Amino acid sequence: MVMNERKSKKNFFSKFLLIIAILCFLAAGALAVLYVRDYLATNRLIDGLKPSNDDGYVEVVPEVMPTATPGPTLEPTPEPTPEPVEHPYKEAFLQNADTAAWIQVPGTVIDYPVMWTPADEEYYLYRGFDKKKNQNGCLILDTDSCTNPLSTNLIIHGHNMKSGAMFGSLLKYDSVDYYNEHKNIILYTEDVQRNYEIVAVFRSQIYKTTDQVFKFYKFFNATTQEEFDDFYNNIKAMSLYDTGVTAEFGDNFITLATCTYHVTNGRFVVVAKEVSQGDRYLPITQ
Amino acid sequence: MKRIKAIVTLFAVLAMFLLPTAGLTAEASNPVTYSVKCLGNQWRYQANTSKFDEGYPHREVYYMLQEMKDGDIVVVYSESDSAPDLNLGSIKLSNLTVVTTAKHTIIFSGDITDAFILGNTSVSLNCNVTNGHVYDPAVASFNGNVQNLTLYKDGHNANTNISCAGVVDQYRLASMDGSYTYFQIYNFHEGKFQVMNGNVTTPDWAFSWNAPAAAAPTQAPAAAPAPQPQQPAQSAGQYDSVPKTGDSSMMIALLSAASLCMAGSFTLKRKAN
Repeated sequence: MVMNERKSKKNFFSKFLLIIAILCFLAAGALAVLYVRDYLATNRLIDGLKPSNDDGYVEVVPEVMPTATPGPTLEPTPEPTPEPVEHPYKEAFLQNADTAAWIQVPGTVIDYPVMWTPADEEYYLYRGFDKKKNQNGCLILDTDSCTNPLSTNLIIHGHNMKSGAMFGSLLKYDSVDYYNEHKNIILYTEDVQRNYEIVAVFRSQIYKTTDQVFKFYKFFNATTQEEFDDFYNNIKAMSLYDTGVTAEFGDNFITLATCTYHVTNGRFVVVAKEVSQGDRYLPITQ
Repeated sequence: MKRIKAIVTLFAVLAMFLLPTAGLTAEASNPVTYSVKCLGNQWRYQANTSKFDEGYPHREVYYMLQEMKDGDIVVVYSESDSAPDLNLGSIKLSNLTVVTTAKHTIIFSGDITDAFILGNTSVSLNCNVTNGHVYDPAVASFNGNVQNLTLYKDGHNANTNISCAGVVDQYRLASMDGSYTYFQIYNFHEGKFQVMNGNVTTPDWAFSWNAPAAAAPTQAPAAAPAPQPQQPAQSAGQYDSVPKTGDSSMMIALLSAASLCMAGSFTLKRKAN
């Protein structure tokens, strides 16, 4: 009698756990569907904005993992034309007034618009270029950065997506070999193409407001040599390897930052300095 | 008795003269709005209205200058291709609004507290301005100093050109409704402020990103200190505000939980059998 009771209790708990397992699988499946849907939506939107797609919207064949975009290389740097030319990413600027620039890291998947919303910095954190909900969000230009007039440092935040989208591939800069193959960053601002070379790669974190430490995310403008030195010496000291690239007061920088989990509120950071400018662009009009 | 009557009469007469004058003085302290429009090649005005209506009587600006006083408001309309310069003398205006211009219009006046240059106008202001408001698209040339200058624009198609011959203490780029600020920059050197097609083209060395430090205490007025806006208390445990760019781990957590439950379920079932 007692044995039978125990047996029925075990059967009951077994069934109960099985039901929970099925529910968890179903929820995970639903999340996976949403994840893939957002990923494909982002790809569709972004591909439609790239200059190679002159005809506009392009259907992308779904892929589980993104492949590296064969982006233009900076070597040799094409001679900029003396006269302003039409912006290659004009469509992105016209379709969404929050577009501040277009960023490209040749040879990587990073080939995205950068959004700037001073009224609400996190507006695009979970919204796509079309302003619809999307887990990938968009790359965000920090509200204290500015492309025109250009602030000394442009900080761009992006999600560290497991799919590799947005700044999901940024952590590959952990490897010096990867750095050697992808040293350059191109930023197409509204008025000019800016070419950058990576100066430092490091891990940092978001600190408490009261912490008196170097905070890479607080550097936007260097108005004095001291301000510049503080930033430059710290990023060089924290760099995971010596890039051999130096900078001096007066140089402009771009900082790419994404979340990592080496500490609470960890950040993986890539800092590059502007080395040259490419084409100047005509004003963006309809 | 006669003498007392004469004195009372004198006071009464004096009171009759003085009382209406006092009333007029009180009325005159209110700012008067004048609308000014160039008709043909002559500037005409109407008082106590911000809209110029050609159906109503209007007079030459010469008479307006006789009436005007510091603090008055002037609204400018010009649809004439042959508008001469508009000279408003040295009277300090509390508000000058330029609504329409057919061609570049040059205005002389005393200092202006708020100058509004609306879209599709082209104007030169020869005076100092405390607050300049320029609405895209416009052409504005300030030939004095401007304390606070704001360009209001929407989207990427800004087509405004602004220059200033004096200094600009603060320049702000704002959305058309003014609800948010794209950026603010400060301390433009004399004659260096320039905006072309909505973009600041002033060289970097001629302005500052940092707001000037507050005036030294000795320069501050002796008035009681203004109440400060309440700041939320800074907690020692609070992190800096930076966008959180991590990916959600919910899917992995759910899959792990499902696997554990499944394993537990099979174990129990096996034991039960």
